[in-house]
Amino acid sequence: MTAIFGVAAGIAFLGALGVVVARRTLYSALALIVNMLALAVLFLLLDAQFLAAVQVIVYTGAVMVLFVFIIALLSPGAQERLNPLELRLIVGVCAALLFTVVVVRLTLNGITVTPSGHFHGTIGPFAPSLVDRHGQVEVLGEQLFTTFLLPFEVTSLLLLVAAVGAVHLARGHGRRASQ
Amino acid sequence: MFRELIGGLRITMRNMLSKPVTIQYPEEQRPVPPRARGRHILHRYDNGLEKCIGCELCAGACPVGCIYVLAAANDPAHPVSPGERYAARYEINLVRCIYCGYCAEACPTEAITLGPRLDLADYKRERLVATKEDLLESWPGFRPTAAAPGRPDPAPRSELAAPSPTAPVARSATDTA
Amino acid sequence: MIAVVGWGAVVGGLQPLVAAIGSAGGVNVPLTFLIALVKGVLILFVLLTTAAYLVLAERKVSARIQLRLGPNRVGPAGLLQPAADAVKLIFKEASAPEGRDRFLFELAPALAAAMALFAFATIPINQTICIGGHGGAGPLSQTCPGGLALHWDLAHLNIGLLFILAITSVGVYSIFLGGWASNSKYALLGALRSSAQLISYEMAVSFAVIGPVLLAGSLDLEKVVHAQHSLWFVFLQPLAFLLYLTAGLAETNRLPFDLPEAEGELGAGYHTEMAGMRFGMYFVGEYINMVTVAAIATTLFLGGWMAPVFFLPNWLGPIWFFAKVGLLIFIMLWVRWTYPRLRYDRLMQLGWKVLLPLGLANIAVTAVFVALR
Repeated sequence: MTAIFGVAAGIAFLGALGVVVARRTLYSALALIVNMLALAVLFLLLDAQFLAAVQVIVYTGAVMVLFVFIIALLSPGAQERLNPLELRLIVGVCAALLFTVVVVRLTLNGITVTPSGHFHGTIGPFAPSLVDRHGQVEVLGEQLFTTFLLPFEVTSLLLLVAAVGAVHLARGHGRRASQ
Repeated sequence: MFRELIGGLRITMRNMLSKPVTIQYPEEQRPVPPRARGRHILHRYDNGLEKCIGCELCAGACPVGCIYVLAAANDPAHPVSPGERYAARYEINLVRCIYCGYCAEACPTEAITLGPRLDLADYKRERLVATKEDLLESWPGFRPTAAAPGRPDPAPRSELAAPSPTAPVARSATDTA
Repeated sequence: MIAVVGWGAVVGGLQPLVAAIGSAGGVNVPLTFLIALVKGVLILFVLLTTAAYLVLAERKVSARIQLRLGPNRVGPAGLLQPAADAVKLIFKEASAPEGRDRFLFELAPALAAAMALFAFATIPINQTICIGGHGGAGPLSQTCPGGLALHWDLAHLNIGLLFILAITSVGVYSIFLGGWASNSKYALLGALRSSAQLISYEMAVSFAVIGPVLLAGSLDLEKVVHAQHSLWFVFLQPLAFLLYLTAGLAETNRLPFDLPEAEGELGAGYHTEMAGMRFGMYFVGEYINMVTVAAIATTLFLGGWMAPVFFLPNWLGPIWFFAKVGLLIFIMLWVRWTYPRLRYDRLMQLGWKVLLPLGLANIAVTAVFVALR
């Protein structure tokens, strides 16, 4: 299991690196896809099968297809390599470091490290062993529609706004052009 | 809409259950129509004499010029044909021939007709020049007069027309029988 | 050639890996891994052979529909034709266009075959069998106390259906990247069409499969089959079954929805520039996808491994399963050789304006039915 984790994490890291480093836009997108697939494997390792499947279906299967679609249609040229001393790059690296610190701090929240180097955490209400007893989709669905109902609905509202906006942009333009 | 869709499916299913119309060509062959114009046949009289008298009218009538006839005088002792002359060489370029049948119409002795053989194919174009031996009619028990001794040897055939025993056109015209 | 062998190895290796991840909760990891390996190789072998013979079946069925005989020269009744085809494809010159994207041009066909093979991993061919232990797996229990539960699918995930949907959604890339990497207008147009088509019809497929899932109350394909022990879902969900078959035809790029490779307009669409085994892998992938679509339909609607009539023995599970799959595949072939190709805008209209609303309505009605039950 640890070996699989290592491989998947390595692939995820390389994919993430590829997004930034690749000079052709399409390859950036493909690297992102690789990264997402590796993340799905990580989810699988955590027994979060539903999450893994949804990750692949939604991100690789839908979102990234559209990305790749657009990239191939517009076919932008290769990206210029940035000057290592350029301000943009420096600011970007600083922001990335800051973000890493925040993420690590948040991840370690509630986890204590024993002197022997083992991690210890408290078992929350959604530990895999507990989830397994009821079934993943069941627990997830129940939580979504009870505890997290408000965030869920707000998110769907956000998507609705986006959809309405997209329809408006597409339709409004077309009507004006046809008149 | 569904009725049309189902109707289409029904037609194809009915086809699937009916007998295929395919004729498996080399093994089974469709009967050739009686007036089909296939490869030519040079005919003989019942006594074995060739009908062709080497008059070259067929070559003259041929719109594409695919017939070559070389006439020679008959030996009165061992005649090849009943007339004065006979065809020492008779070659038809089957690749060039358009199978119009004008040669048969032009022939005064009905020596040449277009036969039922349609499977004219070979790996070498040279073999598709049919020689007199290829075209000449023959039947079981027949002894050709051309083999009779003392008859002058016909002029040697050109290299182009070199027959091959394996060539399909080199088969004798027994398939007319 | 190298690509073929390499990807064969990758696929053969990946399937047991996923299975191991999926079933690592069990006790005996090396044993499960070994079993998964054997099952993976078996599935690989069976699917590839099936794909090869499906090509023959397709040619035979089309021939009979057109009152012909079909291939009958290679071996008895043409049964060795697939072998001849395979040899021909392998030894054919794999010509490739100038200015192609070399990496993606090699990757895309391999991806097509790999994803098609992958998708079959969670389809249960038979019910779980208990080796050793006591009691054995009853109709509704999937555990096997004291013994070894032998699952008849490669990776026993409790979201089996979602796994298949996920894999098929990744399969879009093989077509799109193949078309894009070819540096050819026909291939690119075919690729664009196919991406749009696959995304659209994936929605229809998802909506169609939700019906049986709601009735069974599980995404676990084995539980879905068990839920049909009294009545197959095709009788409760006839609309969903039709929707799934229609959308499945579109998902596998088959006539009347084979717009991505419309010969008349696009050469051969996304694989115009693919020759030899590159084309072969697309071809194999397409036919395996047919098997997968038929297998999913069998599992969700036709009672999976269950005997078609109650007095026939249930222990012949795999045979019933494959008989049903074969029947569905025959229907797919039959449909292909009956209907003409749709126009592209009609295709999109059918997907978004007919199949999708019908699917939604089906979900709503089913949900009400399940809630009131």
